[in-house]
Amino acid sequence: MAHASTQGHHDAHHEAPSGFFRRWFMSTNHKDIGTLYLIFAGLMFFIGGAMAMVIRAELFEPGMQLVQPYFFNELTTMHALVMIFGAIMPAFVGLANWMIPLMIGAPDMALPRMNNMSFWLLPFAFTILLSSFFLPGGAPAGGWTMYPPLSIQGGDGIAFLIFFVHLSGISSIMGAINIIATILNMRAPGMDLLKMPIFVWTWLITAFLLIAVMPVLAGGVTMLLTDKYFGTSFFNAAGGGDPVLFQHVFWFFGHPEVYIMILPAFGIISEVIPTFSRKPLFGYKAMVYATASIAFLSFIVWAHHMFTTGLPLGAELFFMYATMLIAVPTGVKVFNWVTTMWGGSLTFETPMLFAVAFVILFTIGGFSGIMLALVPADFQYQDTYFVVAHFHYVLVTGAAFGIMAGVYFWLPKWSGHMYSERWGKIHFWLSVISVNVLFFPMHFLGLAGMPRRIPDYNVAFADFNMISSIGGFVFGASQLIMVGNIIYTVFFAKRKASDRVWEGAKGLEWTVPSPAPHHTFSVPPVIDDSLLAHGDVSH
Amino acid sequence: MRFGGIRNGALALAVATGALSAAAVRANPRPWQLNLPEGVTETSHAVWDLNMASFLVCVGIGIVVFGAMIIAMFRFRKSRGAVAEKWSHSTKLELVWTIVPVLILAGLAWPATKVLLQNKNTAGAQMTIKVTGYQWKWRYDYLDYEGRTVKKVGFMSSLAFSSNKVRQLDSGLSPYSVKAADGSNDYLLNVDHLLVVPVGVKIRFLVTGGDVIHSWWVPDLGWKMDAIPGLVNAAWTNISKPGIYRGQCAELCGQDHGFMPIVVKAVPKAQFEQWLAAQEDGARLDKAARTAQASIPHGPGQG
Amino acid sequence: MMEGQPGFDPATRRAGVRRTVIILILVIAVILGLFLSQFL
Ligand SMILES: [Cu+2]
Ligand SMILES: [Cu+2]
Repeated sequence: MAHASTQGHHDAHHEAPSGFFRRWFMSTNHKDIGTLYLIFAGLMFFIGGAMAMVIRAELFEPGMQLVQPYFFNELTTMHALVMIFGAIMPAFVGLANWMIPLMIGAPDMALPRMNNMSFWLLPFAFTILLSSFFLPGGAPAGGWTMYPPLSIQGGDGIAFLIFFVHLSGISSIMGAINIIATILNMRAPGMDLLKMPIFVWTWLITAFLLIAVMPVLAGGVTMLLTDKYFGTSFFNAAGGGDPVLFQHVFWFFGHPEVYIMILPAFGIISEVIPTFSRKPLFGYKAMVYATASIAFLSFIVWAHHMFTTGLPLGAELFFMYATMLIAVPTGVKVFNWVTTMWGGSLTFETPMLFAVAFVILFTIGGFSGIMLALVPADFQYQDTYFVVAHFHYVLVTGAAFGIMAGVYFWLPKWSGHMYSERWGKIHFWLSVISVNVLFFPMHFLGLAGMPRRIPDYNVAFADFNMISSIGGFVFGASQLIMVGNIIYTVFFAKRKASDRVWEGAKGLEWTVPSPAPHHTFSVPPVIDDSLLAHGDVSH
Repeated sequence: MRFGGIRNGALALAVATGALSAAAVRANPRPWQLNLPEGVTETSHAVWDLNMASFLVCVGIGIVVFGAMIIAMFRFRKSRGAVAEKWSHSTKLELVWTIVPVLILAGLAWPATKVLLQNKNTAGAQMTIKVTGYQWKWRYDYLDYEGRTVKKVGFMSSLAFSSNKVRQLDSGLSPYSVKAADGSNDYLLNVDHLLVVPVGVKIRFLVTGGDVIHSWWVPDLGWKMDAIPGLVNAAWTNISKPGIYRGQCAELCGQDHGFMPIVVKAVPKAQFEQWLAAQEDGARLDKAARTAQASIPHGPGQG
Repeated sequence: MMEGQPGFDPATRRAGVRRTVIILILVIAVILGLFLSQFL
């Protein structure tokens, strides 16, 4: 697509503003804001990871060696909050910022100044959250789920947490509005909805989920706040309230939140696998419909987190069946990825390695999800390390591996240089082995009877905990390789990336030069269907 | 703490421990244990079967899907000269892998529903025990037994001293040194007062929380139930074998959430009745003693 | 070839963005309104 490249060079004349402050703090450019989001997410990934390292060190052997039990609870609470709201979600928003305008042929996001504000709320939100460690009474320690009465029992850390939720919630909602407005209104002519890359589709649906559930979370935590400080009794049994009500509100947010963290990863994987299979994505339309069904179902399964709270029989049956139903569209996705590879011409560069690992390991997380959906079995699994294993397979080898695949996949486009394939592969193999050493034994621990969120345990659990901790340390250390590789690529690498970067790459983002100039698609590109990634969708 | 028969209870417990038959099962978690315990109730067996069925279904699906993927990764490598094909959909295939999973899931939902119905049915219980979770101990009150009201038998059950001293930060003591009477390690899984129950009796548990939410869980019984303030949840069990069954609080409840274990001691019916009678006597004697001393002012925290 | 297609008009685009944003904000207002009603 020579014309697009020419156009790119033409755009390159409008350069990025000079001056560090103007460029990065006042930015309204989707690429710069995307970069900021990704750097922020990386930073939070390591802060949350450091907490995980302390947790795994304390659990290395039975007995209390490093931290007091209360501080341990602060760590588990903050680890979850930082990883969910600080690492995974901002990383996906960063990828959305970078890639959605490039993929749909838009010059920028629809609301560039709001985009700036969405990002810059986050550093403040996280300063509030992390500063709670220095409060008298410490950081919130009632779990990231904030169940009352426990969560409002401690010091003022919970107030900091609630304000943090409000700020990052506003940030997410603004980001979501921006993404929806961009996708619905900024597509280049000819970029019909059913020609959009799957990544754009998954983000469109994710953004709707965000808009539907972030206000619910904000409402729920505000009720928590007034319960603690202003004498209301929404969740206080002694005042006529109901602690279980909070769980309903929280999980009405919480379950779609799980899909907010995985749908964009589905999108990335649906870009990476066809590229390195050199074959169109199998069942493009089915992928879109499956994503939409998953999003719809995610609103009617929330009580599967509450099976042991003594729900009525009818409710438990309904939520069990609805939860099991989610396996169907999720299965469709997995089968379609495998079928995309079937009959392709496969190569295994780092993004593809992460994508393949994603498909296998996320599916393992899905398997334990099906087991957890069975109510009587959940009576055993609930609140054990089996659950910890389940959601870490979904969120680490799912969401985080998806992000890593995306970063390796698009880094050459962002930076104009090829990353070190050799170190990318070393990072992948260390990660994929250690992450299983880290999380797989947790299944056994949970089944054998180890509850989650405990700082110490019976000696029968010692062996698997030690194995898991060793896996954790290796996994944590391996991530430094990725940072090194990114720094090398951006600042030191010699090998220039071509515009197309990958032999099998399809889609508009690969028609602009590498590195992508500061402004792209100031004039809408002409869409050539055969150059899009979705394959033939006409029948 | 002066309630009911705690002091006498300890005595009676010691007697009962000695009398516990040698055939009793011991159900601690084992090192390298990979799976759920099969447990000692009908429910726990049913749950174990369900656990295995769903696991095997997942293994089956995994073999097919991952198998196809691995074959694809070897057969369709570019380095082996594979040329990409062009096809991108097949309605027939997609229908197959929408419908087949629905059928498989229905096959799992059916037994799960059956077990759940059985699990939820607390009717016909011959005995009721109220369980209350506190930070960070359990309270057990025996409410009725075989149709008659039990008189004032209830006690607190918290982490045993032997574990509590070892679990302090930098205690310098080894968790491996904490041993039960039979020589097994019961670090963090032992309590000062065990919950004594009869075997072969359908026991209804009324579970509630005294301060924050806890969760009462003994894996060998096959379920856990949240202990929520302001809400009384019902569950039931019918233990088939005498023995000591250990569990822990499963819902995060504050700093010592990891240190409020549950120990259930199931004894033959006759022995249980003896124990219960001793408890009730103890409660009566205790009350009489307190009435006699009623003129003496109590210190704070007494009575 | 580098030109956009006819009918691709920045003003239409802006109006579309405005409409989308208003609808989304209304949706959020309804959800938050449900919560606020709990305090009345
Ligand atoms: Cu869920
Ligand atoms: Cu507890």
